[in-house]
Amino acid sequence: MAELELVPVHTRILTHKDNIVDAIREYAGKTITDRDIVCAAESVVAITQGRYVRPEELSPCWQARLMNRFVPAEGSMSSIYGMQAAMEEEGSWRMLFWFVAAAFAKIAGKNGLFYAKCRQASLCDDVTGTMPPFDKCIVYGPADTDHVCEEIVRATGAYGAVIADVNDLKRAAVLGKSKGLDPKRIAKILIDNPFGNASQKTPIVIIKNFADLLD
Amino acid sequence: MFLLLMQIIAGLILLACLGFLAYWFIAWKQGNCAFVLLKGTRSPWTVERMDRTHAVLTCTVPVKNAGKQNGTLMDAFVRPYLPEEQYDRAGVRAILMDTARPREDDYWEALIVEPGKTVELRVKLTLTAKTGSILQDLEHFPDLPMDIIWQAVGRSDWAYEKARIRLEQDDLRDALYNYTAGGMEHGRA
Repeated sequence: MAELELVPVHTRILTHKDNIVDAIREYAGKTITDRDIVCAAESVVAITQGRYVRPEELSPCWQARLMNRFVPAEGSMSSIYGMQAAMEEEGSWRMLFWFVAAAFAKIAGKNGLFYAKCRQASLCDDVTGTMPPFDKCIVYGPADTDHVCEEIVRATGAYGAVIADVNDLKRAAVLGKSKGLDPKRIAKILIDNPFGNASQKTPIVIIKNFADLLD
Repeated sequence: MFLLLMQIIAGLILLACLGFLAYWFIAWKQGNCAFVLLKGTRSPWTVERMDRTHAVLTCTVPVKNAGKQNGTLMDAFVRPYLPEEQYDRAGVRAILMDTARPREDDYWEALIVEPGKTVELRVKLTLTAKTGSILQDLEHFPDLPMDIIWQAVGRSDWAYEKARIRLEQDDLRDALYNYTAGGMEHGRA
């Protein structure tokens, strides 16, 4: 039985003019077999979907100006533009409601309600969160993630595909997957961030021989 | 009934005013980022390299986040001001980079600066001779002002700010002298 192997795939900088499925075929098509899982970095999928915005294009509303003051400095939501970007997707009143509700929930001992209810608040990468030339943009979470994964599988003949959000702080989450995959299991495999840092330009990782584990 | 309605409206207005006051107090207490160019600690200009038609000078100058919040330097660049009307014997081009992450493409990679921390900026100035000899063309080179311009964002709206540094005639003369004298010591022509 072949061993599990993680193969990062180097690409050029992908932009909104690229299609992530075509890019995977172009750069990794020959490497992928029907025993492998294709993993795509969430920010790059979002960029190819045109899901990013420059802070200069946003007009922060009062809800964003108010709420960002209560978010710790490290988070993307601590900036009025990060907060506004999330509100463009989630709705400003909806986010305000869940922000207040989450404050009460926190007092009651339940953390994370705001980010659970307003997914873009946790998925948006603020300025500096992505590699140049997108370092000056706020990048949203990707859309239609499961559908994109199914397309990747169809186009490459892979065993499965996932869109993952992984960082160097030992955090890995699967945001989208093709049918039949266990997201927790894939996240565990990706925990050491095989995508590397942004400047390494490896937004695709192939988990080789994954299907052999199941046999 | 009318009086009660007026009391309710007045109460709501009072609440809104208190809310605004509370917000402004929190915002004031929390503060924002505040970038300051520490011009007093700028390094002397030095000639990095020179050939017959070009001289490349550099200096470093720190920018400090003197505010109370993280600040993001979204963009930063340097703009030299030497109009041809003032001096037309040398061309001037300048780029700015973060000394910790130097890059020659004049692209500023956005970065977060914590309160109290500094980023060392490096100004790289390329002077090009227009008549064929850089030393001759720099003979009467005037004081050259340059604005370092940055776009920053913290807890509040993004904003551009700028601060001025100069390459004065004496700076240029000293830098050229040190380079050519050092060159003689080290066998440079």
